[in-house]
Amino acid sequence: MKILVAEDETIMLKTIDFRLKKDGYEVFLAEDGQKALEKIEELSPDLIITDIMMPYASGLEIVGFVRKNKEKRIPIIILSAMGQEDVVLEAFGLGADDYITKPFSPNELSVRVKRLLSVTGR
Amino acid sequence: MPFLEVHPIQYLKTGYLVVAMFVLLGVLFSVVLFMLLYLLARKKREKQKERWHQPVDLLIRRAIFFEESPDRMQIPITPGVSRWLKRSYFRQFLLDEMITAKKSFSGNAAENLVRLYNQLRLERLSLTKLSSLKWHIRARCIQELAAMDQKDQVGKIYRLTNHPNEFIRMEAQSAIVHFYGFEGLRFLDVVSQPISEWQQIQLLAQLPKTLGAGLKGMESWLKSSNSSVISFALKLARIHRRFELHDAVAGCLDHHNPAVRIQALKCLQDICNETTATLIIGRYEKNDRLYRIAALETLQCMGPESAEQQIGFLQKELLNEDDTIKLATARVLATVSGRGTQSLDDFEKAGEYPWNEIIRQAKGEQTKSGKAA
Repeated sequence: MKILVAEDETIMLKTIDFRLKKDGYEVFLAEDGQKALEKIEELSPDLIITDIMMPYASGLEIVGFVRKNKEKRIPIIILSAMGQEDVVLEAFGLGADDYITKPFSPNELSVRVKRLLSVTGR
Repeated sequence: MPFLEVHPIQYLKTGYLVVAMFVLLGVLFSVVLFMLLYLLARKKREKQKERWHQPVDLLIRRAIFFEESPDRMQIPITPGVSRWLKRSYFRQFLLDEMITAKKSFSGNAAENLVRLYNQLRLERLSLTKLSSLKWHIRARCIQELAAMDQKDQVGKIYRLTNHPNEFIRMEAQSAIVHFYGFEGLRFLDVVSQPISEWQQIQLLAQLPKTLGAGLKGMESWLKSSNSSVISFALKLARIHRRFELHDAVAGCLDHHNPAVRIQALKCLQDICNETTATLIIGRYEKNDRLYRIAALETLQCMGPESAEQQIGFLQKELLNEDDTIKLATARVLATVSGRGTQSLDDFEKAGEYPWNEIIRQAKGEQTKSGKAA
């Protein structure tokens, strides 16, 4: 199962990477929005976890791109900061499936990934 | 001899010029040398940081996923990191990375980062900064202690909640509220320095959304000699709908600071009772234009029952020479269906400019908001 994580904070990225690998997923990392878009094209992941505020392309652009260009329905989890409720709503409007607000527990993220993958039958 | 034809003063001038040129060259050389050395040192530090990134990330990840067991009570530290830990520059780098991680994670992960901070005794590094003469270093120290939940240091931080430097004071107040929530607001009992509007917003954002068992002492804040404390207490009373503070809030309508009076109006709007409209209008005449406009806006928001009590006064205010006041008055009257709108229609100058425009706008707005509701 391939999971793409797009996040510009290195520690966060590596921690999520570590947690998801521990759960047995194949994890791919992107440090900015542009790299994330490239990897989506290249890998066609089974799930995407993306931050909202990233250089070059935002999390919203990623959600929009996936929903517009990918025939396969890829579940997307948004990582948002406190006070970004409006942006989260916008992301849902674009087709995001779930969100998690920073600060969050890596274990909670792991549970949400599992749940979302089982709900979407992956 | 030809050299005797040159005047000695000219020789002297040339000599000065040569010396000046050497001095200038010397200064220039020193500046270039200093810059080169500085850039070299910076580059070395950057390289060092790059080298440290991997072990630091690894240590932080280990900490985040650490699980205590009887044979493993402490987060394991590699010998390499232990060696580097002797260097304060490395400790600061590690601490900065830990704080960044702490902001992103909650639960066990965040607790483990605090555990690592305590295990490495990094509070000693933070505390050395507290005695610095530079305000930004002291402010950073408070930030670090708060981020790492160092409640043991609360005594040292609490003293800084009334510091003359605005930024130190802000960090200290935020830290205390971070540690204790509403209980942390006790510093309002003694703070004599102003709390900026920005800081008030920050503190309100930090506080829990619901007021727990009840916050005691708000009444004394509403009587504080510090206007910004009153202003903050009014905001708190408004957000948490403290109806029992109605009379104390109404008392602020007589405060010497106009900003406090306006804030009191806004607060009363949300905790109003049957006496509020009379209290507000009773102070109308002796106040300035800003209060008057705010009072009318408050009356509009308080609902038709409150406005209906003041119809006579409002009819008179329609004749006020200030167009903004005329419009604000018409808006209040338009909220009262029946008597209010009737008084707008019956107004002697309803057909004249600008009243005709004002009344049309007020009624239009009311219809729109009615439809929206």
